[in-house]
Amino acid sequence: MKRIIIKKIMACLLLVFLIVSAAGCSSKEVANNNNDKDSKKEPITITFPAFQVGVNSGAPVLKENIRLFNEKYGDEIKVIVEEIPGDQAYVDKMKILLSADDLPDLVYAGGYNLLDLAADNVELVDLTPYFEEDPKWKACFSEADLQFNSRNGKYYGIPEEKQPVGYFYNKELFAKAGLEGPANTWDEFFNQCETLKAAGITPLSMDTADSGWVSGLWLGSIVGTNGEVGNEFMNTYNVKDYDTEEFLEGITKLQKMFKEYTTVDAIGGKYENAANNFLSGKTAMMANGPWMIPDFSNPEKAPEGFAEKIGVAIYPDAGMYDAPMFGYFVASKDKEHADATVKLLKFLTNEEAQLRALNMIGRIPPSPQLELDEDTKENKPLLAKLIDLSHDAKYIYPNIQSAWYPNVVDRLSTDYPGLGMGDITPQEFIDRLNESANKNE
Amino acid sequence: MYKKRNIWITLFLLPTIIIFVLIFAVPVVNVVYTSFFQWRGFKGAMSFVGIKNYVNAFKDASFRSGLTHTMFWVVLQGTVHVALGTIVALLLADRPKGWKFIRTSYMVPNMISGSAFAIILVNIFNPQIGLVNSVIRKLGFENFNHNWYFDGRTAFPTVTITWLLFAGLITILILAEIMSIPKTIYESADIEGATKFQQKIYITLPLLRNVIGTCVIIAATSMLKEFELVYLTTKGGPGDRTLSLPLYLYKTAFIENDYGYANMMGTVLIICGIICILIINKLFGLGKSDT
Repeated sequence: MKRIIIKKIMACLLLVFLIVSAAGCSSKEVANNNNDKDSKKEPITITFPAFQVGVNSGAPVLKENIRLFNEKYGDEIKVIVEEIPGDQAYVDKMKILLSADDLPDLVYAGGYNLLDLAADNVELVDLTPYFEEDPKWKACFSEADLQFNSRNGKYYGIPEEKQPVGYFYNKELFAKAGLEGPANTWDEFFNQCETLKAAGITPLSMDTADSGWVSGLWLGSIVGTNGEVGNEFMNTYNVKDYDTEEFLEGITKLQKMFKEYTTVDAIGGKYENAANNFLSGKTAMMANGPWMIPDFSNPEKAPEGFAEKIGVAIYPDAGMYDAPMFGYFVASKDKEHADATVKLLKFLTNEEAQLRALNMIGRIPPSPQLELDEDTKENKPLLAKLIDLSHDAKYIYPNIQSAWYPNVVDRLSTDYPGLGMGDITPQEFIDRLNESANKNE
Repeated sequence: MYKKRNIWITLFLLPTIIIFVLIFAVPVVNVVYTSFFQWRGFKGAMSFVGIKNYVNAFKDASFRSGLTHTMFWVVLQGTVHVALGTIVALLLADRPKGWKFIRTSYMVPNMISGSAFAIILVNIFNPQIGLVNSVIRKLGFENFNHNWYFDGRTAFPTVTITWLLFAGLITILILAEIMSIPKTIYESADIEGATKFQQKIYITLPLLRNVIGTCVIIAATSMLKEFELVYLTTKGGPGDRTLSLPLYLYKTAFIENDYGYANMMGTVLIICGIICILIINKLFGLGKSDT
């Protein structure tokens, strides 16, 4: 009995001791925290999902930018970068977050028109006062780019690059087929395809999956260079009526390209299939932007010496994708986060960052003041050539992915295979696009 | 005594009921409710349109394709898929040599993630480098390069065999039930002179009625939510040739932002699911005693 009483007393004492020491610890922690708070403010956290990760060509630049930003501002701003591989997955995720009114602080619309979708539904941060505060930063962008990203007189977005898009061709394969250089007209282009095919060379890299990016570039250029009417059509955003003579002609030619001039895996294939076919020398031409240039000399993607075999061209009949682009926008919900996010945005897009991206991956700066120096021209001859050629372009237009309704782009992707296999006619293809386009309000 | 027990039963069931109501019932009611509205999502206002979404659906060729394909897959999965799984289970029940290996390897497609499986299949059926075409070329058809997933003639069957043949889960469930049948029943049948085949037909199969019914429900209703494999292989194409209703629902909600119309499809899927379960319950007399 006595032992039990002693045991109970000991247990009570132990409990009291534990409570007192726990309380002591916590009060000590609170005191320490208070001291810390007095001496140093907690960094503000901002969210920034990105698809420029992994094998994406922009990944090294973003990684370096974030590293440098953390070095400089890490004590006051903590950037949470959520990696979302694949731009389509990124766009889908942004839409879901938008529907839940839970957009991250910094969003990259990139080649997709997320800006209008977001601006129509949530309150975005107006960048106008930030530009007024820092005119040097504003001067990093052309007025055309700024206007393109403004709504109701307010600047909401800025691009991080210019994307003049032409096409690449394999000079070695051209020479094998007896061709001297890129075609000046579409008739000449299709003759070249015939010649390459006769020489046992597959002329074109194409794709249909995701948005059918590569095929879309060929299509947009055929239409965009088809006189003033075709060019106007390609410069129209959110088209609802595809039933035009120029577009029908474009689709008919695209069908021919699918049927006769591309690889068997193009139908159903992704961008990666198209790129691999070109990088491995299986195809002679591939439409794509300057971000692909580093791949030509990447030993993991292309054989040694491949870069020297590649030439760059604008599209036949002097066409080129070089329209203003959508870019970053800020969706922070309070002033404190907005200020911090704009600080990051400035860091990612100022002149220094633009030069860094140019040197690291050959990304073309959006700044009208930045020009390639001689060193860069020598080190990046394809890029320099592309910029040179862009001065000769008579027809300029935006890419389909950023200009048309997302459900139309999706419809393109699911209907390209039917078109390519001859299951549907060009007119039926157009009717389906119209049907999808008219589902949008 | 019973009152006290009922209180305890209620108390123990309460967390499940609360979770069910919050996570499942409320969203389901919300889906059905919003299917009567025009609702472009986000912060946009909802306007009541009655049954307009349902009427429009039957004029919508993509909806009709999606529904037809989904229902066809439901039937195939509830019949052919379960039959295959049952046959394999009946064969493995005799424990032939290597039966454990077959049981495990037949389960493999069910164990790997859907996305990984889809990527494997896309590569197997790739017209240029895929295994299927390579084998056919090796057989002497040198220029064979059929595009299985994207040729309108073969897209649907190719997508269908993606899941139809892999009935590992069904096999495992049925095999477990077979193993639990008392040996004495078979010993009696042996004494009576019944062959192995007769024992399977007249003893095993009737005793498997409940588990087969359950498997049919699992298999058939799994098709009502099939999304991943279609999305990652053909994305519903070419055209609408392989479009499933869940995929069309996804596209309508997240690409077209038409949440009212998408929820109408959600409601149709829920109704289809309920009808499926009722029919299968009735056919198999599930929950009823064998006696």
